[in-house]
Order: sequence, then structure tokens, then C-alpha cells
Amino acid sequence: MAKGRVGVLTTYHVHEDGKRVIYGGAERYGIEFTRMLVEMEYDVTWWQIGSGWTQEVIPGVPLHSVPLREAAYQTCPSLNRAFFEQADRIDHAVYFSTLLAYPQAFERSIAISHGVYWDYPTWETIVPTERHRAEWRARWYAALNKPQKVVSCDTATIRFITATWPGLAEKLEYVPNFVNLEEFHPPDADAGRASVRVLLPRRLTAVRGINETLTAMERLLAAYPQLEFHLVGRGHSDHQERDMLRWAHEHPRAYYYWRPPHLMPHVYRNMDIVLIPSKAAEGTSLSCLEAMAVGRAVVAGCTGGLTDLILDGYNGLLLRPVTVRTLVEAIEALVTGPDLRRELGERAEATARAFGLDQWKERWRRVIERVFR
Amino acid sequence: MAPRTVGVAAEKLVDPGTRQILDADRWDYAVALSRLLQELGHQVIWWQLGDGWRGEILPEVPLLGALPASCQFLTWPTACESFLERANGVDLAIYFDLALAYPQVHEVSVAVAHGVTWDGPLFASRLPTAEEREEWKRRLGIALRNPLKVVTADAGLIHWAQATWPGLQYAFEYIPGFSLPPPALAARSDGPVTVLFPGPFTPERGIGETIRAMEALMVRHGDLRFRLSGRGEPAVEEYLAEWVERHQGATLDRLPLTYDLLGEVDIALFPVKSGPGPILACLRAMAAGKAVIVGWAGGLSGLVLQEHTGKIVSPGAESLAEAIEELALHPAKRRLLADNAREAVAHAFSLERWRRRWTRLAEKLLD
Repeated sequence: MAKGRVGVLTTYHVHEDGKRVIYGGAERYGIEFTRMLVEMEYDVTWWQIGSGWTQEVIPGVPLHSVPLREAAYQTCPSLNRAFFEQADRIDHAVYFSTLLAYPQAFERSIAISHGVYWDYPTWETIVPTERHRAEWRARWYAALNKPQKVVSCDTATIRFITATWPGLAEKLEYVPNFVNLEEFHPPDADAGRASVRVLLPRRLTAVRGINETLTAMERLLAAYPQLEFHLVGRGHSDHQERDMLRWAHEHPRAYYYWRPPHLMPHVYRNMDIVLIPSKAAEGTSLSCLEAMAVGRAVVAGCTGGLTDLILDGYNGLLLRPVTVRTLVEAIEALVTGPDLRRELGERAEATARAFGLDQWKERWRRVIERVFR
Repeated sequence: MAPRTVGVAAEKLVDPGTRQILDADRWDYAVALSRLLQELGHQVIWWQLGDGWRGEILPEVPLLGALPASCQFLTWPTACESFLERANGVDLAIYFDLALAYPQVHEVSVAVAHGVTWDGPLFASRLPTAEEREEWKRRLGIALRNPLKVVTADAGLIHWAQATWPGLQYAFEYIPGFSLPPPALAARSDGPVTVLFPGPFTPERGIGETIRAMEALMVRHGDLRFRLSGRGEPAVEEYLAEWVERHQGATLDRLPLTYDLLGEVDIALFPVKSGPGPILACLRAMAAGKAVIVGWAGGLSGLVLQEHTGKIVSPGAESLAEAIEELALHPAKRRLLADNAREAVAHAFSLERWRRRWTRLAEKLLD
């Protein structure tokens, strides 16, 4: 017999049309989270935005969809209401994003924050006036207060919340993201290549530092004949991906391609340096943890949850700010310093062992057992 | 580089009346920065709030207690103006407290932000109306934008500022804290596990939760030893003296956090709940190879990698007790975290690294 029924509300686990699967970090988080709840013997049901179709998150766990109708100030009151009404037979609720807990939340519920996403300059185009920003903050404050606990994947979000609304500290829990150590581990033996391979395993977006990276790599590829650059990530459009193919074609030893998540361990194992040069909107990045678990030297932006994973000079290099100059300097140090590369990679791998899937589940179990008891 | 004059303005490095050092971490930072600038060949003069007295940070580095102590919305506009006027010939001005960088700063200037001072539940009682808090925030925003760079050792402050005012990408220089290499410490014997809470004994540093956690653990594990070292308000020290009398296994002293003291303990607690944290003290404990348990506030979560170089706990006696218990009962894990912590400090938080970063910044600004 199940311990209880858990309803999970998200915006999109699959595309709104119910046909296209999304391969992002949040979706992978959702799948592992569901597996954990099932292992803990809960009955789990998901809800998201859609036209009324039903699918499965994992076998046996339904994903229902409800129409969005209204969305304002990053909140979805109608979706929240529909979940509250349709899921009235559940015992516990999980709001997969904190703002989904607005305006009302189940008594025994948890909200999850995947990191600060409002720290990039164009954020204010979404909430363009102080009146808009005040309303967004008011709704978010209400959403943070409704659930019993708010689980944050990084301390940057916790620090933001406590410095914005002193007094909310007791509501917060820190559960950093995870890496599957069975899949992501160093190769048995590193290939004795003469080349040094640099990987950018991110989506092709400005906030992930794609533009600075391309300029930095143009300079470095010209200066270091042993260097290879691999860009592995999807763009937002076919047009953008075509542009990237063209760029790679024009630059010797630059490659652009995409691999599904299950092939990424192999990609990481064939690289030497991994770039996570995010400028904003970053939590405890799964890509960063995966690169670390494979024992690669990581160059990361000093933003969001990345500072919970990397100590500059110990297990990676942190860039503040992310610019062409800082990227070139960091990559250059690693290309010309095989010992530094090896040492950072070894310590990164040791660090990643503390962020394994099992530890993540154990941290979550403690929270769930306190809230859902 | 040709010798230059550097003026540094601080709120209070020492008590303006008694001249006693107010915060060991800030003082250590001030001394290290002064020594570096001196070694780079510059003349350094410090200013702080005071009625005209003169002291010194180091030989030939004076500390002038001469800035007017008039505070408004947690900023010091008259002290700022006075520093600007009286130190008008300096080549580089360092505002050692961010609040002093309002309303106007020297043309070539840098501010130091020691951490978030507005995340405690009593913050609103210091500025009790929304209008006052708005005005404080406006001034803080100006202070952040005024200098050419804002240096901080607390990445959390950068995250907060960037998420509060998007567009500050280039405003900050992240220069993590530092620790001197520790002397060779004798290995701890197999005696009882000793847990240290280094002061000050304040609510912000988590003294309340700590003694509640200690009480719970004393019942469960009579062989654990607890040590409270440092200072607090007289009434708090009196209460703790009585508490120690009533609890066998606990001791109280007024010793500062030195390597000698650290040599006598196994676990060091920094369960900071709000305000700027004891970054340098925590790094000292890590450098000494002690397992540390820290709160997520005060910049300490930027020093500790969860379960790799220490433990980060949420506020509350229960989570603190759980963390202490786990490390006390599992010596292998305690040693692993302590060894990793020592190595992390040696690579990421060495004094040499800190000096290199400050040197690079000073040279860039003075060139």
C-alpha cells in the first residue's frame, strides 16, 4: 500500500502540444525526483500546461495537462487553481517551481527553486516598470510563504531570498543538484592524444556565454595548433544551428554537433577542458557536475549555483566577469598547463562524489519525511 | 610602478572610544591590505569615524580617527564628504565599507563589501518603514555604482546585487578570503571528540542554536566535549558561564581563534544565520585541518563545498546537532572533510593568491 498520494505541478515537462520531449536539466530533475518518490512508495501524479491530454513521466506515473488560461508576473493563477481543484485527492503537493505555489498551496507541500533566473540585464523587459516588479515580488513572496518548505538547489537563491525578505530562513532547505556517478565517471585510461580538446556543452544562448566563447576560441584556435573546440548543444532555432555549423566550418578544428543525454558521458570523457561560462540564470548546473564527475578541468562563470560547486584554483577556475579576456586567460592556462588541468580535474572528480544521485535522494528524503509525515 | 598615495576610509576598525579592535576578521584584512600596499611601494593612510585621535594599523600606516560619525539610513554621507575633502590628494581611494561610498567617491576608487548586513530578522527594526528601506536601498545602489570596482569575498553578495539590479555584471571583483599557512599542528589523540564554537556569542552567529544542539548531544553522547571560546555581551557571557556550570562536558573561555586553540579541537562550528560571516576565521579552521560546520549565511557557503570540504546546515538546533553527531560518530568522514578543507584552502584561499588579485587590481586602477 502506498504511503500517500503526491501531486506535482510544473509548467512544462513535455512541450505544451504533448508531442515533443524536452531534454533540459529540469526535465531530468523531474524524472529522477519521480523515481525517488516511487522508491519511497508514494503514488505520484504530475500536472502541467496543455490541452487536456494525458501521458506518463515514467511508466506508471501519469502526467495530466490543463489549459494555462492566464499567466501574469511569472505566475499562473489559473493553473494553480486547476491543480488545487483537480488534485484534491492528493495528500501532498510539490510545486516544481516556486511561483507555481501562487496564489494558494496545499497544506503539506514543498516548492522547488532551480536557481535565480532574474539576474540578467534583459529581465526587466519582462517586468518593465517598478510597479510590475513590485507585483512580481509580492506574488513571489506570497508563493514562498505558502508551502511548508522551499527547497533550493543552490545557496545563491537562499541568500537572495533571505537578503530580500529577512525572516524566511527557516522555510528554506538547501539540496544541491546531482550527478549520476554510475554514468558519469572518468575513462579507464586517458587517451594519449597530442591535441587538447575544449568542450562547451550548453545551449546556444547569450546567457550561457556563447558569444564570448566563440570570440575567445577564434583567438585560441589561431594561437594553439594543438587545440580542438567542440560545441555540443542545441540552438533555439534551425537558423541559429545553421549559423553555428557555418562558423565551425570556417574555423579549423572547431566542431558543432548535438548528442542526446545518454551519449554525453562519452562526449565528456573524450574532452580535456569543459566550459560552463554562464553569465546569469544558473543553478548548481547538471552539466558542470557531469564534467566534474568525469574528471575534467572546468572553467565556469562566477554566478548562481556554480559557486557552490567550484572553488577557484582548487577544483576548477571561476570567471568574474565572463569576458573574452578572462576566458582566453583561463583556457590558455589550462592548455599550456597539463599539470594544472590534471590536478583541477582530479579534485573536481573527488568533489562530484559528494553530489551523487544517492546523496541527493538522501537529502531529499529527509525533507520529504519531515513535511509529508 | 611609481609610489603613490592610497587613502582608505572605514567605518570603525577600532572602537572610537576605547580603541579596541572591534572585529578580528576586518582588522586582519586591513593589516594584510596595508602590508601589501606598503610592499608595493605606496604610502597608505587610513581614516575612520572618530573625534580627531591618531593610531596606526602598522608602523608608518596611520589610522586617523577623524571622520564625523553621523549616520543616516545606514550610510555615512558626512563622513564620505569629509574623506573626499580631506584626502583629496590620494591617487587611489579605498572605501573599506561599502556604505561609505555614498554619495560621492574619489575619481579613482574601489569599495570593499564585506558581506550582506541586511538579511537578519531585525533589519526592519533598524529601518522601520518601507520608505526608509527604499531610501537605504537607493543609496546602496548608488554606493555600488560609484566606485570603479566593488571588491568582495562573498559571492552571495554579488548574486544578490546582480539579481536585485540586473546590469552589474562588471561592477564586482570577486577576491575570496585568505588564510596563512598554519604551523605544524600535532595530530589529535584518540581522546574525546571536541567541538568548538568560536565567538562572538551573538544570535547572528548562532549561539542559541549551538547550545541547544549541545544540550541535545550531551544527553545522547556523554563523551563529547564542547568548547565555547570568545566574547559576547556581559549578560550573555554571564549566562554562558552559568550554563557551563550546569553542563558537564562543556567549557567556556575568552580565547580568540588561534591555531593553538584549533589544535585542541576536532570540529569547528560557524552556524551563522545572518550578517557578514567570519570568513577568515572559518578559513583558518579549514587550513588547520578541522572539519567545519557552517550556516549558509555570511559568505561561508562560498568557502565550503557541501559534504566535500565541510557541512552546510540550515538554521536550527536540530540540523546542527545532526551534523555534529554525524561527524563525531564517523571519524573517517571527519578526517576526509578536514583533509579536503585543508587542501582547498591551500589552493583557493592562500594569502599569496589573495595578494596577487589585489595587486593586479591596484595596478590596473593606478595605471
